[in-house]
Amino acid sequence: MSQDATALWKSLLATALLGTGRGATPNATDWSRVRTKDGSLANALESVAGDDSETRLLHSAAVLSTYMLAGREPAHSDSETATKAADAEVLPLCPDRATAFLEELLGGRGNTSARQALFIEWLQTAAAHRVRVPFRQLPILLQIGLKAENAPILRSAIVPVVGRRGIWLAQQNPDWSWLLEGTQDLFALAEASETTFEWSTATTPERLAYLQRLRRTDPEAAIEQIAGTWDEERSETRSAMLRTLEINLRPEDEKLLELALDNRSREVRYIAAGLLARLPKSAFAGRMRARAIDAVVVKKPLIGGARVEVNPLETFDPTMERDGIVERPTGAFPNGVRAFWLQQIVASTPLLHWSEISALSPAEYIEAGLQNDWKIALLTGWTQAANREKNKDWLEALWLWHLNPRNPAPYHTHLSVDVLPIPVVFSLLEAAIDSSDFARASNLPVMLLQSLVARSVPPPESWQETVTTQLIQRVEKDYGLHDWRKAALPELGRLLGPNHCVTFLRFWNTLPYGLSSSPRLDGFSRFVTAITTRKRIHDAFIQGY
Amino acid sequence: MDWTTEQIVALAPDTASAKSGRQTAKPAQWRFLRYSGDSLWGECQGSDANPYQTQVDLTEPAFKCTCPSRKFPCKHGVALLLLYAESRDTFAESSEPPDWVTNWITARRDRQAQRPEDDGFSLVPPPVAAPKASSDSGRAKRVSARESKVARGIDDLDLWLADLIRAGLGEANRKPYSYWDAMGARLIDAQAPGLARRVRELAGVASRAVGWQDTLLERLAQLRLISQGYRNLESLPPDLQADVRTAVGFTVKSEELLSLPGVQDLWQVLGVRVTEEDKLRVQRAYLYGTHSARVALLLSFNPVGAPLAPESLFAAGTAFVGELVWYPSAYPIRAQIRERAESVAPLPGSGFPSQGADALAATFADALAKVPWIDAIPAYLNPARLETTVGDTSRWQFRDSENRIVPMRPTDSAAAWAFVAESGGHPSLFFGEWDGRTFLPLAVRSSDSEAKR
Repeated sequence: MSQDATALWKSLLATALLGTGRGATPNATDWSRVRTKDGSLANALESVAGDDSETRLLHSAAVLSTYMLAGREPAHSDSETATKAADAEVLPLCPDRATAFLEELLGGRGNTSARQALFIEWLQTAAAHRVRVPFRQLPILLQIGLKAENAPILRSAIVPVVGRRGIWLAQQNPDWSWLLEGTQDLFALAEASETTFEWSTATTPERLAYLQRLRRTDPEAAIEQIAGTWDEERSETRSAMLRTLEINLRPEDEKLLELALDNRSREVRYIAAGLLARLPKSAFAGRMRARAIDAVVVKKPLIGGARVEVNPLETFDPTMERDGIVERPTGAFPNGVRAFWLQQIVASTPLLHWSEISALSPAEYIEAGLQNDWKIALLTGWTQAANREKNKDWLEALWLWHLNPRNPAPYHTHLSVDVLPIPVVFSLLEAAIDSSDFARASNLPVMLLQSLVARSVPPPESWQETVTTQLIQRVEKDYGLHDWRKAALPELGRLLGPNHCVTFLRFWNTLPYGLSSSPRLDGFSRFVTAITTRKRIHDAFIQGY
Repeated sequence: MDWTTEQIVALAPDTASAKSGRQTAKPAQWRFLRYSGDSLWGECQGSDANPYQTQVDLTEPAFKCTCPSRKFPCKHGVALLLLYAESRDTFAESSEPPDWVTNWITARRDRQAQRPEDDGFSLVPPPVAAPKASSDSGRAKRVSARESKVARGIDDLDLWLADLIRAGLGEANRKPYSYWDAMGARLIDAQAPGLARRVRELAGVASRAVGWQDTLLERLAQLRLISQGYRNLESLPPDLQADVRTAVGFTVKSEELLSLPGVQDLWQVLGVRVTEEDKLRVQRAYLYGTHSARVALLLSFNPVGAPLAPESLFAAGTAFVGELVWYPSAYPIRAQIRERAESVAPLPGSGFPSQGADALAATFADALAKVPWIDAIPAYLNPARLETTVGDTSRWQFRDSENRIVPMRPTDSAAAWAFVAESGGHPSLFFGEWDGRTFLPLAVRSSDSEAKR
């Protein structure tokens, strides 16, 4: 392109900006300045017609801008490219039908938690077949992972299906570095942010978040930080700070917790007592054990089973108040205040105490406790202690006792499940399978299944088969479900293997009319739909299906 | 025979039926799903007290259903076939079909024996209706009335342009949108919608942060060029006349278009772009004729939110046999389908020649020489790497093997990243729109797209 053309365009533009009403008009002498190889531009400009200078200017601009656009030459870069190309891909591409399903899941609307579960299932199925997503879907997956900071299952499901290309792509965009950092690096990131943390200017939520991080990496530093401003804080803040000690609780924390027992706030005292009860060697635990020794005695006669005897306190000992034991129940306590005190003492006594004073197993303690008039206080106390200490032996024994259909249901309580190892959850499910007493056990098997959903682990195949048969038998028998299986249908729809899908569909296919739309089978109908969708995902990965 | 999901959805008479067919294709809504030979049947609980009895003869396929829908096939038929294609397990084999199934099949077979061609629904599309001859006497009058309206609009436009230049463009970027919109509305009244669109676009140009002055003068000059072309229409070659009339906003009548000679070929869909303009969804599909080496742009419009009709659905990487007709132009790109016959497997390479940065510039210069206000042309870029611009990671560029740079037209970053992911930093063959300055990628050849062929 001629330099002159550019200069002429600049002068035309200057005139146009200023306005022909005010500025000089380009005239014929300007065109002769334009030099091109064949003179065609000058000729074209010279032949521009127009009654007025405005029209001539516009016509000249039209000629010139077209000339310049047509004559543009591509820019040349002096430097080599900065980015390294991706290595050859090792994972094969997933089948077309699986891609279509993925696009449907990514583009869909509606129930997001159900769709997310299907999305995770898609990813896990792809990983099981050792295939990857299409390259063009990688940015969407990396973006989903970026926003899934609090959903480690989602992130770890994405990682195996991105292939080498996904790792290469994550290197190109700092937003997607989460794919490159393992969980280890995430901690490093947290530490890096601590170096810039300023306690004195931080808000209370920021301080609490900082304390939680610090407890994971340096528990001693965290307790020093809390002790440093302990006297200045309001009691709600003190409660919240004490709660952070639950992370990496250590015997060294006792000093501050003992101090907290003298606090005026009942809540602070209660939290401190709860934490101290989890430190078996603490002075607090010693005081509680002394009370427990007075209150509960194990008798092992020569003939017959062990017995648990209770010597109830006749009056409230004021020193118990400091250790978080409440004198008067806030609501009605049908078993009397003495049972109320006993329950709190048992709940705050380390479970280690019971195995030290007798060789009885947790299950034997539960059996023996039930022979006693104080059984509700004893069982509730042990349950609370087991939940608080996350004691697997006691929790398993309590679970088994509750799931046993022969046992009566003396009380309702919450039982932790997330601390139980998967094999224990499986054996508990085995125990639940024969239970049909809806009122008694409805929520317990559901809690077990929810825990498996959260951990993304399906129940054992034999268990699935039994439940499949049972579900169909029960629907067949009275066209309705009346036990825990009904409450667990949403979880079962997510956990049962798609290989059972055909059984359910064949059965559903034979149901009489009117029943399908009956509200009684609403949950079952949703269950069949859910498992069918999952079957479609699995089938989509089988080539040539 | 086996039917794929895509083929079945394409059988639905319209997009609403396709969608409701999809929704009805849930095993939970059906009972007694059975098959026997080429027959499928099942019962679907609809809004009626009695279930609808639906059956499909797989050979054609042909459909029958007891539902009151007038659509053919109805959603139950589509759904039944979809279920069969996707969850065959849910169908049980039946050795003794019920009477309502066998009666229909027997009747069909009998009729087919007599009259093999026309029974029920078949996949062959109906013949295109012959253009209706219209020798309306009032038509000439309407045409001349419109032309004088347009002429008055062109006069107003020229005056407006001259006023702008006389007063100076220096503060054009401070003018409110209503200033540009008023002239646009005037041109709509004058039945020159093409010019109206170009005038309204000036508002966007003037509000750009950088370089608005050059672009604004360019666009104003282009408008003046079109208006001058319209004034001297008779003196222009016929093809360029058509371009001027299109730029002003005249449309070509469908029957006129279909009377022009067409080109029969195997058409490959090179790339598809969907944009939203004025509450309309605009789909641009670029095709390449395998034997004729001709390029075509197919435009489809439909309201935002409504799905495109199946006959105007194109997916990059697919191909079909058919005949196209081009809108008259000195640089013909836009075309219309006269006949779309069968879909065929695409070829391994399109055969459309790719170009280096220099050749791209030359091709665009050629296009400009034919139609000076041409927006963009379809083009294949020689194997080039897509990379971010040094110092500005939000801008992208293509770099060919000789380190020549073609800037990428700014687009949303999700689309740009998808092309980065697909090309993996390797030199790749990109197809897209080239406007003489920037390149907008629409498709890329990668190992994934190869795997599909």
